Amino acid sequence: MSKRILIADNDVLLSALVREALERVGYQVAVVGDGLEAWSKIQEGAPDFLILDLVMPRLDGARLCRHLKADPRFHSLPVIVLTGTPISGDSDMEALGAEAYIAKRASGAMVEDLLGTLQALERGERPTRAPKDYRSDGDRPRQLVLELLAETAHLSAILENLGEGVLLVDPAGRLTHVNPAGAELLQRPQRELLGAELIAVLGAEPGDPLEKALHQLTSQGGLEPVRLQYSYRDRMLHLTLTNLLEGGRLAGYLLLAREVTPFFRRIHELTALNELANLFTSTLKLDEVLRRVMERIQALMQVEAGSLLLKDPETDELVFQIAVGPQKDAVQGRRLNAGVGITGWVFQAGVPVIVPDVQQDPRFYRGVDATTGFVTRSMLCVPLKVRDKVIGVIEVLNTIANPPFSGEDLNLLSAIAAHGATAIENAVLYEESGKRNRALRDLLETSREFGSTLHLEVLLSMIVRKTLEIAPAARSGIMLLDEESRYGYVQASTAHGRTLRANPRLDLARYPEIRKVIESRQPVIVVDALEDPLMQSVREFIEPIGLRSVLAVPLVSQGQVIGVLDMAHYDEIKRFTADEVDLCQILANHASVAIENARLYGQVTRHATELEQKVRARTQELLMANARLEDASRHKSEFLANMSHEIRTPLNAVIGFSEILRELRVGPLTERQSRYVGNIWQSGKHLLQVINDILDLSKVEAGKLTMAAEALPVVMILEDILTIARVLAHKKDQMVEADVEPRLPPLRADPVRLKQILFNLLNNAVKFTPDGGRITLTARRVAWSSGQPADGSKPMDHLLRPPLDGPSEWLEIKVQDTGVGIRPEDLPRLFQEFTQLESTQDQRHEGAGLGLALTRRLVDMHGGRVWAESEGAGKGSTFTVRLPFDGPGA
Amino acid sequence: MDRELVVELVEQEGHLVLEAGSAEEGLVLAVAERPALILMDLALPGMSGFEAIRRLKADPNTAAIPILALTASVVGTGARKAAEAGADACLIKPLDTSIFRETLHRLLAPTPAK
Repeated sequence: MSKRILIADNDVLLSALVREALERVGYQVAVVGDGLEAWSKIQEGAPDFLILDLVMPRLDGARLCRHLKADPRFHSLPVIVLTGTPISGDSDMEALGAEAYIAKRASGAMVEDLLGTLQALERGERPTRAPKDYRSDGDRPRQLVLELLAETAHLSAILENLGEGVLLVDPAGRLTHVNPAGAELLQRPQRELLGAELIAVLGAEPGDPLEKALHQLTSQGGLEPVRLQYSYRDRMLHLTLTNLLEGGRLAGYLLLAREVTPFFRRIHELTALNELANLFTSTLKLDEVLRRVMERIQALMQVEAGSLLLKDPETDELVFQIAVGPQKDAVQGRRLNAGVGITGWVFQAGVPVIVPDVQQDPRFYRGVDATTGFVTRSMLCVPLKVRDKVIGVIEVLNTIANPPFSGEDLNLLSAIAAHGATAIENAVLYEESGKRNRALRDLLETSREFGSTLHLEVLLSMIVRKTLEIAPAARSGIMLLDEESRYGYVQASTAHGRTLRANPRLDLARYPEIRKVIESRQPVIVVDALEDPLMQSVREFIEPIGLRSVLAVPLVSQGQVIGVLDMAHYDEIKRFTADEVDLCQILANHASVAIENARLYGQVTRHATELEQKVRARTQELLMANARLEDASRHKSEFLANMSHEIRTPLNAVIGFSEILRELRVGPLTERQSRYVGNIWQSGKHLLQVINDILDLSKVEAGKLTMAAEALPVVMILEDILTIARVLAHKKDQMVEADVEPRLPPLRADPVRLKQILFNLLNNAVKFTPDGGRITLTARRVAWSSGQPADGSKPMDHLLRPPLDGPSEWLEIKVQDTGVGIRPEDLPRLFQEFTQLESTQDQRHEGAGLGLALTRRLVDMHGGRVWAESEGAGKGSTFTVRLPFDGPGA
Repeated sequence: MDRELVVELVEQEGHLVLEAGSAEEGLVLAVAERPALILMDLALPGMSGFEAIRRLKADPNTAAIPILALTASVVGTGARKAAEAGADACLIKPLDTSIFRETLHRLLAPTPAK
């Protein structure tokens, strides 16, 4: 690490010189202008050496040195005293305690002396040269003159050698001294400058910053400098102006000047680039971006003309997107083939180029100038690159060769192009995506429109119209294919300015492009039908009609090519763009769905019509059947009424006369006659019962049997019915026993129907029990909850379970007999109409089996259950009825 | 045969019976003879039994005579319609002879005239 040296000297020029010398040999140097500054600097961090002037403002060197040597922190800091002033005596010198003393001189000798002293101190030696030379020896005036001369000489040397321009100006504003660097900066010889007025030399005008600075200096007085940037000719100067005072009176000005032109230029360019970057990001409109780029370039580079060319991805041509300059309108929109001209060369090579005189360059393309009258001489052309891909070029032109474009111009334009290329690319992408979005939006709208009609013809012509909106072409058409894809049926065709042959059925052998679409299921693009090998076989057909460019896309539905949507240009080649192809395919996809829907709708409509007709016919049939049924029902009722009436009338005679006979009212009968009359009466009564049962059943079926439920005293009803049963049983010497639970609650039931139920059961028991048998009726209250089978019932018989959520309190009546019994296999059929059980078929037991069927219906109407049990034939039967106390539907 | 049964049953009870083959005939006979009771079959050739009852009950000369209607029909509303027409009782054929006799006695009982 290099040693650090602090120079404390108010002599700016000397300290600059010393600093330069010390830095050259590797020291790190800091300079301060007075003792106080030096003191605070040292306290921040002590240097390795201190070079100290003795005479300084505020705190002088002698005092600082004594101060340091008295301070234990700094007393070992080596101090080299520079002095132009004679030391008054040894004692003074020794009192300072400095390590070395060097006389100020205006030559390299002093610097050498200083370096020697430093080296000695570094080695730890005491410098050999003592400041004896400067002792006052009584020869003081001579010594002073010598010293002053030396001082002046060294000042002059410093001035002459300093890189900065140093100008001294007298109070009247005239230049009294200009060093060589100053003359060089002002680009004028020193002799012309001396005595000239500073204001005039610099070309400052009234109110100029320089004039203001001079004013400020005069008015503020003192030694505080004024700094400013000043534009002089093509240079930018940094000026430092300071008052020169002599004995407190203004003696003139010191002006230090430094050139900062490159620095300024760089700032200027960076500012411009920054502005451009902001411009680029402020808009995504391509034209706007391009225009701003070129206007900036023209303003910044002060060129006469310029253009920005972009590659057309469809054709690979370079297109003049924007131009500036006198002939911009003639240039804009023109196209150059790839590789043509210097622009083409730059585009292909991807590197910038400066051409001082294009007329001498074989690459130069004269075609543009030839039409505009602009004579290009000097050119700078840079590529526009995005991620190493060249998308275009920027060229700037001048009609004069001087000054030629510089490397700096090239760098600037390249920087602009780098920024611009990205912005352009973004704008292009945005514009493309915008176009695509608009097209897609249109398509979406279109699909909605397609959905608005299910009429195939209307739909197809709508599709064709939309196709032409999306991809303008001379003709567009849709053909749908037959099943073998041999023929296409042109369904809709729209042409502009040309009538097409009316040919609804096309032999696809003559349409290779359509066949290719069907085979490949991909869009087929024919750029030039006359050149495309695909179309060669049909050239003789297409040539006369002038077909040139074709785009054909498949209509695919459920994996099948159902048709082809195509469009064509005639007589001229018009390339369909990739976007148009994409959009047409999307349109075709939507169209396919719509076509399929329309076709399906057609089918569905036909089916629906057929179905509707069928339904109508069927409804008619049903209505007729219903009418017939109603008719039949009416006939049945009429029949039953008539039959009943017709049978009752003769029965009246049969029963009535036989009763009269039986009762011997018309004379005595023999025992045999009496038995016969009894048979007639019995049969008549039975027949009457059959008729009544039939009528009741038919009423139940027709829902005409009404029920009037009321709370009935069960015991009384049972007594009534038992009385009748006992009369019947008495005739057969049968016993009828009853076991009725006392205090049964009232039962909600229809009294007539309840009696009918009980009478049927008892009557059956009497009928099927041999003479002398026994019949038992029991009545009791049972709890029978939901889902629980009745005791004794067969689990398989679901009817013997109480209804779900039904009542739980039931009246159970059992009629048990000692009769013929029932075979188990007959039990299920027992309650069906007209069931005559074979085992019981016996002439003694008349019965059509209607009684139990009716009983079952009546029990059902009461919400109850009835079933029969038997141990088998000959072992008697038990009929059980359960009725809810609360009545039906309680 | 039907009429004969009824005649037999009524005569057995010791009453004199006049017979008419139709409603029209019956109406004439009823006015002329003023019987103690009229037995009226509802199903008659020509004028119906209902109509005959209505006329008998509408005629002050015969209105007081009790009428026993007889019908073989249980399906229709014969009995109700007979009561509406003004019959005092209605029996359904085939007749239960004991019920018939009971009804006969009731209608002929010497109760104060209505």
